[in-house]
Amino acid sequence: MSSASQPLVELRDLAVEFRGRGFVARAVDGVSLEWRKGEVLGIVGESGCGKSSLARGVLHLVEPAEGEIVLDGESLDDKRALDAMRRRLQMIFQDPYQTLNPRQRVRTIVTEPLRVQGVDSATHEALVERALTDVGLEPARFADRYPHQLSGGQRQRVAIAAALVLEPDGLICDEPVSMLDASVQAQIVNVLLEIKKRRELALLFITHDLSLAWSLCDRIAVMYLGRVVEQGLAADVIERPQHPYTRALVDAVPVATPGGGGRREPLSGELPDAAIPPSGCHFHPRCPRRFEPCDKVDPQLLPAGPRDQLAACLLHDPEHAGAATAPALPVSDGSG
Amino acid sequence: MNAGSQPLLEVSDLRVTTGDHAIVDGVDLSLAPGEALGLAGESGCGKTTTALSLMKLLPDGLEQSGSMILHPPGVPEPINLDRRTETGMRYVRWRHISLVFQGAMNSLDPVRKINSQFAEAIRLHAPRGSVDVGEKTGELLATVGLPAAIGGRYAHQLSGGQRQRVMIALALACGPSLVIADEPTTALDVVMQAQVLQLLERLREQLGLALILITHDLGVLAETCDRIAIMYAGRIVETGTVESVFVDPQHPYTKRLLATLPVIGGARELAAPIPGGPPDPTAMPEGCRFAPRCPYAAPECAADPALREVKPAHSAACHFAPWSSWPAVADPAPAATAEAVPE
Amino acid sequence: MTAARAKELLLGSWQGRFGLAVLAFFILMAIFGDAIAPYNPEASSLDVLAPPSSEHLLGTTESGADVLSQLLAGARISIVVGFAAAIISAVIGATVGLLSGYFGGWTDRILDGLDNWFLVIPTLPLMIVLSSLLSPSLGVLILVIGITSWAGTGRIVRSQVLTLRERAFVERARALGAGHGYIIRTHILPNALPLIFANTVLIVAVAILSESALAFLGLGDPTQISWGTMLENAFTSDAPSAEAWWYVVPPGLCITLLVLAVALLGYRFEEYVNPRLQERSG
Repeated sequence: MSSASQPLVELRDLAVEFRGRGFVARAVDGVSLEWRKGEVLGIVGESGCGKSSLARGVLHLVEPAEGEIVLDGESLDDKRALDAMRRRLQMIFQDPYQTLNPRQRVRTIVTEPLRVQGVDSATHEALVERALTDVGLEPARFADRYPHQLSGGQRQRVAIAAALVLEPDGLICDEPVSMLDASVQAQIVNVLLEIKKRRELALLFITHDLSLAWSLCDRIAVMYLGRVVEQGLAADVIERPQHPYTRALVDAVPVATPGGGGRREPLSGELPDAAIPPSGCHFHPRCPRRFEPCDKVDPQLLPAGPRDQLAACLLHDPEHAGAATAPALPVSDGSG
Repeated sequence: MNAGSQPLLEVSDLRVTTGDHAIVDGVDLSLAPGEALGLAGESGCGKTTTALSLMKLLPDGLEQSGSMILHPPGVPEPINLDRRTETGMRYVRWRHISLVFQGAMNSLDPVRKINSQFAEAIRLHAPRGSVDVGEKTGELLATVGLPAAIGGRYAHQLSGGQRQRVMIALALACGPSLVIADEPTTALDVVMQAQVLQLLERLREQLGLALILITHDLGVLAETCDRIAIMYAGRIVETGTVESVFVDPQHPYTKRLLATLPVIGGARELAAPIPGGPPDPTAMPEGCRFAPRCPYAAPECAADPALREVKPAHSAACHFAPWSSWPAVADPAPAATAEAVPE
Repeated sequence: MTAARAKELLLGSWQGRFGLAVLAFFILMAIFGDAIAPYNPEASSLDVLAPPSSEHLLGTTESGADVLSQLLAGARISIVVGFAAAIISAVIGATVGLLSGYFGGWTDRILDGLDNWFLVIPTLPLMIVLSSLLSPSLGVLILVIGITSWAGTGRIVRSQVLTLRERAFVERARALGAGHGYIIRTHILPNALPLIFANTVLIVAVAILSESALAFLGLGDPTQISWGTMLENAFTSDAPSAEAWWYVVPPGLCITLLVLAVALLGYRFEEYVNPRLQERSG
C-alpha cells in the first residue's frame, strides 16, 4: 500500500500536564510520534505511564501544554482543522459499562455523531445500519435496545459502531478489551481488524497487554513515565527489545504455555510519581542494567537494533555505552 | 500430585442453586497438600461461586449441596465442611482456608490502619496474649516483602500492588493450609502481576501452602499452577495437569480458547474467535452445554457428556475425546450462538 | 421510566400508597373546595367560636365564619404555593447544580459558594425578612419560598453531575466535538432528572410548611385564607385558651397530613433514583 507510509497524525514534542496544589505532573512529556495511514500503532506501558493522556491530548480532550499535532499535514492549532479532526478521528474507551448513556437506545447512540456533526439526516438510517452490521450487530435485533439489555461485548460493539458511523480515518482504542473475557476479547479484536481492513482505517491501540499488542499492531511505541522509551516494528520491539524496560515488560507477560520459558525475576518497585520524576533516565532507579551516568544524563531516542527501531537508553548511545562495561550500580527497591 | 498421600480437600458433586436453576452444577475437585489448582473460565461460568461455596460464604438466595471434606495437616479427624454450621465454619475460615478477594481496595477497611486489621485477624484465632500481635504483623508483612512501616498506613495510602500484598499477608495471618485467590491480579498491570505471582509461588514453596487460583487469564494459570480445571456454564469441562491441558487440550472449548490467545513468539495470525457467548443459566441447552457454539457439534451432543479420563491424569467432558486431531470445520451460524443477555 | 416501574414505585409500598391517597384527597379538595363549601368562608356571623354542630360541622371562628369552609379554601393555597414554589426551587437548584458541576473551575467556585451560603443561613428568618420587605401577596410568597429553598437540590445535582461528567459517554460526545449545551441537554440532564424530580417532591413538603409558618406569623397574603392564616387567627383570638380545639386541630392536622404524604412520596422517589441503587440495575 502506497498510502500506508504517509502519516495520518504526527505528534511533535507533545506534552500534557495536570496541575494540582503546588505540583505539576507531566503525564505526557515531549512525545514525538508518527501514526501512519492504515496502520495499527500500539502504545504500551504500565498504568500511569501516560498512554491514555496521550490519546486524550491528541483529540484535544485535554488541552496539550506544549507541542504540535499535525493531521494529514495540517496543524491542529487551527480551529477549523480541529473541527475537521473531530470527524476524522474517533475514540473508543475501556469500560463498556460507562461508555454508553443508559437512557439512550442503541439507535440514538449510534446516530449521535451524525447529529452532532450535522450530517444530512436523510442518510442517517443507512449509515447507522451499515455501522451496526459492520460490528456484527443485526440492526433489526439491536437498534431499539437499551444498554442494560446488552452484554459487555455487545456494548463495546455499539461503541465501535458509533465511532465508525462518521467513517473516520483513524480510531483511537483505549484498552478496549481489557475488561472483557478472553473469548469476547478475541471477538472484539476480530471486529476491529475486519473493520480496519474493510474501511482502510488506522488504529491507535492503547494497551498494557503486550501479547495482544504484539499480535495486533504493525508498530509499537513503549511509554514510561510520559516518554516514549522504545519504538519500532511490533515484532522487533516485543521479540528483540532494545530498552531494558521493554525487556522487563515482555518478561513479565504470563505465557499460556506450560513452563512459559521459566519464571524470570520481575521488575521490582513501582512506577514513580510523575510530579517528581527521577533525574536522568526516568527508569534508572528500577533498571537492572543501569550504570554510571544513567542518573544524570537524559537519554534520547536513538537507532537501536537492525531495522527502524529506536530506543532511549544510554546503552545505545555511543558516547556513553562504553561505561556500561563497568559494574552495574545496585538497583534500588522503590517499593518502600 | 503426591501420589498415595491423603488429599487436603475433596469436593464431590458440589451444586449451587438459586430458584430453579443451578449456577454450579455438579463439580468434583480434589487437591493435594501444597498443590496449586487453577480454576478458569469466562465470567458467569461459576468459578467465583465455587470458591465462595468452599468457604460457605455464599450470598443470600444461593443454596449449596454436595460433600466437601478437608484434611488439614496436624488435625486427626477430617472436617466435613458441608455439615458445619455457620459457627463451625468460623473456626475453619482463616485458620485452615483463607480467601484473597479480587479488588483489594474494597476488602480492606478504609478507616482503620493496616496494623489494626492485622491485629483483628490474628486475635480471631489466637487466645489473647499468646502471640505478640505487633511482632506477628511485622513478620507477616515481611513475608510478602513489605516494610513494617506499612502497618501504620491506611489502605488509600498504598498502591494497588501493595494493597494486594497486604491482602495476601492477611490471608496468611492464621497459618492456613489452603489459600483461595479469586482473580488476585486482574486489576494490576503486567509488572505488578508478575510480582504478585512470584510472591504466591514463593509462599507456596516456603509455607507448603495449597492454592486454588481463580482467573480468566490462562497465561497466569500456566505459570502458577500444577493442575487446572476449565469451567463452562457451571460445570468442569476439562481438567488435568497444566502440561497436558495446554499442550494437548481435549475439549473443543479449551482448544478454541487457547487458539485465540496471542503467545509472543508463536503465530501472530490468531484463530477465529469462538462465536457467541455463554448460555443463559435460566435456559441451559440440553445435553452438552457448549454444543451451540461448538464447530464439532454432532447429534451425539444432545446427550450430556460425562467428565471422564481420556488420557493419564487428564479428563474431558466431550463425547469425542480423546481427540487425535482437530479437523478444520466451519463455525455454527451466529444466530444459533447469540450471547446471553444479562439483565 | 416504564409504566410497570412507575406503578411499583407508587403502589409497591405503604408509603407510596398512603402518600398518593392523601395527596389525591387534598388535590380534589383544592379543586372542588369552593363548590362543596357550605358557607362563604369569609362571611361572619354572630355565632362566634361555636363548637361543632349539625349546622357547622367543624364549628365557627372568632368572627363566626364556618371552619370547614375555611379549611376547604385553605387547601388550594397550600397546594398552589407548595407546587409553584417547589418548581421555582427546582429550576434554580438544577440550573446552579448543573452549571456548577459541569463547568467546574471559577463557575463552580462562585455558584457553589452561593449554594453554601443559602444552605447555611437559617431559611425562616430570611423568608421573614424578604416577605416583610415586599408587600405580601400569593406571588411574593411563592417567590420567597422558591428562592430560599433550592440550595439542597443544587448541592445534590452538583454532586451527581460531577460523576456524570466523568462518564465515558460524556467524553465520547466531547471527542465528537459536541458543544456544552448539547452535552448538558442530551447526556447530563436526562441522567440527573430523576434525582431533581425526587428532590422537588421533598421541597413541596418544605414549601407547604413554610407557607403555613409565614402565614401564621402574619406574613401571608391577608386577602387569602390558608391553613396558616387560620392558625394565626385562632391564636390571636385566644382560641386555644377558650378551648376551641375545633378551630386549631383541623388546620394543624391538614398541614401535618399533607406534608407527611408529600414527604413520604419524595422519599419513595429518592429511594428509587438513588445512584447507588441504580447501579445494580444498570
